[in-house]
Amino acid sequence: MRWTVFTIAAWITLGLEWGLRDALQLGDVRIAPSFVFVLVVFISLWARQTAAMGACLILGAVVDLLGQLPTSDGTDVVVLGPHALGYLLAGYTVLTLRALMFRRNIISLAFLVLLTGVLAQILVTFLLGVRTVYDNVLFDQPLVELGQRLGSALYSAVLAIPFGAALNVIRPIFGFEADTRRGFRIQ
Amino acid sequence: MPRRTPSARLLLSATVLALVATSLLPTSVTRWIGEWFRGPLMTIIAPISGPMSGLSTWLRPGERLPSRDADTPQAELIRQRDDAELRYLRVLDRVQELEALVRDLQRGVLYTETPFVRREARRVGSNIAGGTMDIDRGKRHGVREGSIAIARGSDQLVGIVTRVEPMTSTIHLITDIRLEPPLLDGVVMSEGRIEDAAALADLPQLQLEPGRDGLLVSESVGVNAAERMVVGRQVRLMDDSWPSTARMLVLGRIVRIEETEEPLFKRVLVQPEIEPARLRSVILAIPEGDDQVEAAP
Repeated sequence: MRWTVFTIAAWITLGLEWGLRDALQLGDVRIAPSFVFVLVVFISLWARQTAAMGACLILGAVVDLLGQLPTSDGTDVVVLGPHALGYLLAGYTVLTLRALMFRRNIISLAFLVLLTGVLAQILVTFLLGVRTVYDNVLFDQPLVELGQRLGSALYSAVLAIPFGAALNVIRPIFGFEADTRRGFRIQ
Repeated sequence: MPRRTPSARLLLSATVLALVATSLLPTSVTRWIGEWFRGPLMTIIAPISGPMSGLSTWLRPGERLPSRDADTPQAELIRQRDDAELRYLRVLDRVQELEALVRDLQRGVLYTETPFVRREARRVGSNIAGGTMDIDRGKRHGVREGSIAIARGSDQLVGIVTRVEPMTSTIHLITDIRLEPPLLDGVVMSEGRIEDAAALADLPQLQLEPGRDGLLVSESVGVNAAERMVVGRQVRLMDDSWPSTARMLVLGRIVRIEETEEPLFKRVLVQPEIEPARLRSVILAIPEGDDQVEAAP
């Protein structure tokens, strides 16, 4: 994978996530799709194992650093870790399953976004929920929060169809090994 | 010769352990992470998320009322009327405050007043999960924690600045259920002109808290006070726990008055006139101090 291309793609995707996500929010409920998570699954589907894990950790850590949680003293804090670990788990699951999937099919991407999104969000909710037991971070009721996060995972799977199609179009410039490797040919 | 560089597996395990630690250690230990890394990261992200936020506002505008920014004579008159009304209400509120101050001074309480400056700031992102919004003005532009965000072209209170980075700041929105302090004291305006400070003090008051659907809710308004409230009336902030720059700003309009299980109380729901999370830009009321404030471009 070309890391320069990944960096530019990540920058644009984070811009979409941070700037455009609220326009796609479902009414006043805190359910919105994640562009970054679709990129995580896309990279995990095509990149080599070490590159995929590294990309998942970087993107997850950036999402953690961008997102803040309010505290009972009126300030906001950054909690580094939940999304990084959640995205890592998602990436690992995709790496395990990708041999069984039709990678070029956009439905496979959407299915993996849903499946791994659910796993990642359960882990994120668990870690943040545990922290609220002894810390002053303000967190919604864990079940309500989990419901909203699972809703977002489902919504991200829907977003994965158009956004994943766009990523598939530009896939050659990422320089994934699967694209650059020459296939078996009989002459 | 033995390998000196750690294997990828070892590096990954160490990273995972470090992330588990930062996820679970209390805020007092991990606060430095946000202070060190978030500012530079936001400086990198803001140039791309800013235009996306603009696109977001265009796709899904947050304003429920016609914009006062229009250049028609009618809009100009409405703008002048609203500004005059806010100033007038603030004067009445100030009279009340000064009366209280006279009482305080007689008791020997120290008097301080905070002047403020106004700066326009553009939204560069929203955190739906955190109930916050990021803007493109930070420490370098003189923004401080506790500055008040007001919707541009309106008197609608948007929120309070809770975090300031070098180039960006975070505003906690009034509609988020985790707003601290969670209760907002509001006063319901009357239809006619409020003659004096005593009339302002006599208006029905209520304590609002953010609900789950973007509304502000007062769960226990006495039936006598509720009888003086009418759907459609404007509610303004009259809360001593908020900075003085926020006083008499608009919280929203009453959209519903509902019965509760308690016959002596009613539930009042207030909807902000503008959706705070979807604004293109806000006006910051920044308390003035010793810090050097750069001129806004």
